[in-house]
Amino acid sequence: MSPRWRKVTRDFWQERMRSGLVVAAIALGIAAFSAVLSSYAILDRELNQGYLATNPASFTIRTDAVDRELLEAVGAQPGVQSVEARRAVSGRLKAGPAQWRSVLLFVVKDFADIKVSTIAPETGAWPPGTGEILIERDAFQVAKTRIGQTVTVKLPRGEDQTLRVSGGVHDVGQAQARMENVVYGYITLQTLASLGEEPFLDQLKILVSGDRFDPVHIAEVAADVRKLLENRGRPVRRVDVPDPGKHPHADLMGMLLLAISSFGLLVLGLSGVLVVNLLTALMASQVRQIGMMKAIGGTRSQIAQIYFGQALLLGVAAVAIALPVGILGGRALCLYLSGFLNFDMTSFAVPVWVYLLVALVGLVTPLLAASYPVLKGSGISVWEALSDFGVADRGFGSGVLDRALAGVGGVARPLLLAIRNSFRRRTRLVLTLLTLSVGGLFFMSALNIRTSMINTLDHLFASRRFDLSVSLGTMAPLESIERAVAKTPGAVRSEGWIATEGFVVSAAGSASAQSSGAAGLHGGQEGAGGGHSAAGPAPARFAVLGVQPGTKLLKLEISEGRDLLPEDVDALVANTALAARYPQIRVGQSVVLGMGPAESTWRVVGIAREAFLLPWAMCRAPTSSARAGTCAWPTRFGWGSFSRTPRRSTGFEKRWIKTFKERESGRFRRAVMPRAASDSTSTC
Amino acid sequence: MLIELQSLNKTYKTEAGSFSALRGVDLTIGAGEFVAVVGKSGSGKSTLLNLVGGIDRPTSGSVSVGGTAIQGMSENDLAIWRGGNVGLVFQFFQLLPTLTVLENVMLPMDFRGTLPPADRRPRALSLLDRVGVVEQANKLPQALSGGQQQRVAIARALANDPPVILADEPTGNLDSATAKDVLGLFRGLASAGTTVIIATHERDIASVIDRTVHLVDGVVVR
Ligand SMILES: Nc1ncnc2c1ncn2[C@@H]1O[C@H](COP(=O)(O)OP(=O)(O)OP(=O)(O)O)[C@@H](O)[C@H]1O
Ligand SMILES: [Mg+2]
Repeated sequence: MSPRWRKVTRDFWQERMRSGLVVAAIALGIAAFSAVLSSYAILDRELNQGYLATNPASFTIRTDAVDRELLEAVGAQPGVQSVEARRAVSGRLKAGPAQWRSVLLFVVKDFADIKVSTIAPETGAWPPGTGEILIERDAFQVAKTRIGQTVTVKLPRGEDQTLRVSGGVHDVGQAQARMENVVYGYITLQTLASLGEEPFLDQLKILVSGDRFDPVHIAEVAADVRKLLENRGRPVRRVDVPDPGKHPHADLMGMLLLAISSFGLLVLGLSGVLVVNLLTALMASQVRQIGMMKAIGGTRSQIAQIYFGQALLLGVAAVAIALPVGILGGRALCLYLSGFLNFDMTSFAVPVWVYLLVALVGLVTPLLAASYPVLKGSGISVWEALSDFGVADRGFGSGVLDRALAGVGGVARPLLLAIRNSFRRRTRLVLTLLTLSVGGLFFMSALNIRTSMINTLDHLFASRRFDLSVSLGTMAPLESIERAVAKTPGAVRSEGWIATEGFVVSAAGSASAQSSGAAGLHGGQEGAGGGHSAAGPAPARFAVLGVQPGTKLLKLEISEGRDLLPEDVDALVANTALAARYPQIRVGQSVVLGMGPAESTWRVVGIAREAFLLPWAMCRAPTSSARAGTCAWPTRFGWGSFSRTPRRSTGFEKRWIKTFKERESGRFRRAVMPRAASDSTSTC
Repeated sequence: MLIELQSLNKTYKTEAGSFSALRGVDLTIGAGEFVAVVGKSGSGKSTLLNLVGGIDRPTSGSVSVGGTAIQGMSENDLAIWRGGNVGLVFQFFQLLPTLTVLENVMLPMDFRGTLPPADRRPRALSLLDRVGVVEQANKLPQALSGGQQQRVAIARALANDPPVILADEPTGNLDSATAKDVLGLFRGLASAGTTVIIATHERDIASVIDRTVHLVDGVVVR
């Protein structure tokens, strides 16, 4: 082995922890993939072989009583290879004290001479005598009976009749009886008569001569036979032409396999991400080695080869593990599906192309995933790689997770060390997984970010002094809500608030549209976001809460400056998270906020300490008369909050919400009980 | 091999502004010469060696090694060129940690592909024998002492029998006795016709070297 390959294998072994995880991930994907692929290959062969062996009818025509003369006429029709009369009758069946089940009785004239859609004897007697019934092997469990026992059968027009179960058969053409919850029974014409039915057969099962798999040909023959029947004055009730040569449930099987294979592909894709990660990390940690190899004459492609070798090794290891597992899994899958589809496996032989395809996918996936980091990493210049100014090794302690782990307290030191050590190499891996899941979560929550921003206020105020807050769907006159609250017994105090969202207008941004703060709050309910149209990225929005002056329902912990005073007009209190984000939000300074369609200037009077991380600001709800004189306070409000006596039970609040909703259903949107111990939100 | 440097300038751009590490260096070094580049820390010794070895590129001026002007070559061509023409030795040995000593020495031959694969191992062993560490051939580098590792690095630099050896403070991490041995090795190489350039802080080297190039703030003096 050349030194280059030695390096590949040794590095692989040195990184065995991490490589192992990646191999496991790839192997999982490959195993699922090969299980599906091999079972598909096996089942496709076996299912159709077994099915074709029964000479399945090319089509079935339903008419009325078939006689010998008709059978012969159809049999003599060109294109018809064989024809056979059958009948299927549905009824009910019961074994002993068990429940009634649906039964589908197939009536066969001569069990010794079945040519089309054959059934095979399995156990017990063959053919059934008069007063006897054969049962499909899978249907015994549905019927809850055994050979030698008797069952009661009732057909729509007949009386209850007792039949003896004399044997079991295998009917490949039927779906699994257990799945369908139907008993398949096979009887003679005489037995049918004893069940109170007219003893005739009404189906013609026809197998075409010539190409049995040509749908056009089959349709032609079917049309001919139909004409023949019609010419003889026979009714044609139905013509069924199944997909030629295809088991009726092959599609179902295909769908099941597709579901499993998509799981395999998903895992394979995910493992690709891990490969990218592993190789990026590996190459970053080996920058100096790469530089050294270049210094002693290694070209970019030679160095890339080494790391592609690494990826290849991952693939080889994964395929080596996954192929046997996958083939075994494929067998299990075949057994399961063959039971499900009620046919017998004769051979588990896997075609060679399956092995080849699996190996190809297993080797190509990691190579493909590795191509970006490898080509990028091997392209670094010698000087960059060798100088201290190049990419430095990032040791333990630089990642977010590392720091989080470093912060884990209260654990015995050796254990902590062990945890840190085991995470050292896996940080990236864990981070990847975290990123992936967080990314998904983020995407979903982003869709709903505006709603959630306002909702946050419901949940996260640490300083709330109320038991229930009710959100209204639209702005509503305060008096009417106060009336509604007063009429709903139990509330001690209520206040109307406005919740909206705003953003800080940067110093350079347009300040022309300035108006009073109150106007901003007014417009802010639903039309938010329509106003500010400065170029560049959308400004970060935060929640703004307008409260009644001198609110008794919210007591903030002021860390700097002061709380809102009843006489304040353009005063604003921000929480620490908001102040941390904007340098202009400092006590004593002014800030221009965009709210709704307007911008307005506010004086920052205080900073409130808050445990949660989302920024918000609080100001007085519109008292426009004091500022611009355009609208009288308070005209409308978005939130109602109230508190009641200390005796608490969620039941009480639920009843209150119910009463309130009956009164104000048009406006009610959602109620939140911030202080209830469990299940604090009741969304309506 | 003849090395010719003509009006060589190297300017580094840093956040604090640009910095001239080499200024107007003109230098000719003959085949089989053993040259020591000396000067204070930061005077430009490593920079000079890096330019000669094609590891770094001059801002202006030309570098010609054995008649080949290397300043215009691509990264990849430079790597190939280095593989056959220059052996590099560094202060911190820079052996690949997951390869054995023997494999480290075989690696340049593997990259260059000059010898038939079957001949590489015997050649690597004979090189290790020449530098006196053949007993360590199958160990990993970390199992060797600093002096032993530096000998391996020298053997590796010799793997493709290059006409030029560049060594940046090859004795910087060694005790004085070991340093003397290593310098002796270079002396032997130079006497056998290899051009050897070392950057060094060693004092008592006058007896082993042929010539001293003195750098002061990026300028060759005397
Ligand atoms: N990548 C770089 N970017 C900016 N400045 C650099 C860079 N590499 C070297 N220098 C500067 O160039 C000057 C010469 O550096 P060089 O490494 O050649 O010195 P030296 O003589 O080898 O010193 P020492 O004896 O400490 O190794 C130094 O002042 C150094 O700070
Ligand atoms: Mg130096």
